[in-house]
Amino acid sequence: MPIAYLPPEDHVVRYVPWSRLRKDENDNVLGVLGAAFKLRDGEDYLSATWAECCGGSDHQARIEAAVRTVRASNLKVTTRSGFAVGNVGRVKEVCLADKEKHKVRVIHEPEPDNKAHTALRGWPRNNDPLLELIAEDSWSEVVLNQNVPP
Amino acid sequence: MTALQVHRIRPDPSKIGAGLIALPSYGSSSFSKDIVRRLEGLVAPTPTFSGRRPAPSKGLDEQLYDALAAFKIRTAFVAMHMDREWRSRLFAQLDSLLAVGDWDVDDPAPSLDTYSTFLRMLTLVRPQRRPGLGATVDGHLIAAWTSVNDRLTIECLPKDIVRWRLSATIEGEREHAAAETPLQRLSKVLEPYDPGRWFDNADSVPAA
Repeated sequence: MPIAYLPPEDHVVRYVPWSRLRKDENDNVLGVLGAAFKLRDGEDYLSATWAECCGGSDHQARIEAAVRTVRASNLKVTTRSGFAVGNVGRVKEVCLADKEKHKVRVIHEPEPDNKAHTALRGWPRNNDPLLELIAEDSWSEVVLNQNVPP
Repeated sequence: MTALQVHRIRPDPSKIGAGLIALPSYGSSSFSKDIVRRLEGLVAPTPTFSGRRPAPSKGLDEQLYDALAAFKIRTAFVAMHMDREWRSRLFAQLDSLLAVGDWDVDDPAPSLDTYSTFLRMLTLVRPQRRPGLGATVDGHLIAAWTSVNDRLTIECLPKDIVRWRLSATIEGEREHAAAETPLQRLSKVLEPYDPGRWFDNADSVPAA
C-alpha cells in the first residue's frame, strides 16, 4: 500500500488534555502549551486526526467531524479538554526552519478505531523551544471539547 | 476533621516486630550479652528489607488526591509569603488542574519535588499575577503567563531547576528565548525581557 502523505493545505487535529491547555490565572483557556506536542518516552511519532478525511462542507464542520471521530475512538476525551488544529504545510515549514531542520512527514495511518488517524513522523524530540513555537504559531487554533455538539 | 488532617502513619521498618520480642534483663556475663545481641539481630531489618515497605499500587484518583494534599501542606510552610486571597485562588487552580475527571490517565501525578520548585519560584519572583497552571507528560508542573501575544512558560523541574521559554515583542521586534536555569538566577535572566509584562497585575495598574 503506497504511503499517503497529507496535502499541505489540509489540517491535523490533536487532542489536548486539560493539563496541557494554556490558561490564565482564572483558568480561562488561551491556547495550548508546547508540552501538548511532546512525545512520550517510547512514542515514535505524534498522533493526530486528519480533518479533511472526516467529512464536512467547510473548515468548521470538518474540525467538528474530526472531534467526533476522536471522541468515538479509544481515547478518553474529558469534558474540559481541547483540540489543537494545525495546517499541515505550516507545521512542516516551522519544523524545517528550526536550526535542527526537522523534516516531518505527515502520513495517513488509519487505526481500527480512527480511520483518519495521522502520524507525524520525524517529529522533534528534546526541542521544547520549537514545540512552544509550534503551539504559538502553526498549531495554535484551539477548539474546546465542550463547544462541539455531540 | 478536614481531609488534610488525615495522617497515614507508616511504621518505621526498624521497629516492626520489636514489640513481639521482649528482651530479658541484661545479665552481667558475656554469655547473656551475646544472647541480647542475637535477639536484637532478630529484630533488626534484613538487608533485603532495609527500606520502606513497598506501598500497594495506588489508583490515579488516590495519587492525585495525595499529590494535592501534599502540595497544600507544603504551601502552608511558606504561607507567610503569600496573601491569603492569593493563596486561596492558587489552591483553587491546583484543585482544578488535578481534578481526576480531566487528568490524562497516561500522565503521572506531579511530584512534590516539582511543586517545591514551583513554590520557591513564586516566593522568589513574587509575581502579582498568578500563572496559569499545566503539567508535562512526565509530571512536571508548568507555570504560564500570557500577556496579549507575549508568553512566558516555566517548567518546574526537581531540585530548584526551571526550564523557561518566552516570546515577546520588544521595541517592535519579536524575540524568542529559552534556557534551563537554577531558580536563584531566574529573575536575573528574565530581567532583559521586562518580566513585569507578565508578573504585574494589570488590574492594579493605574489608568493613564
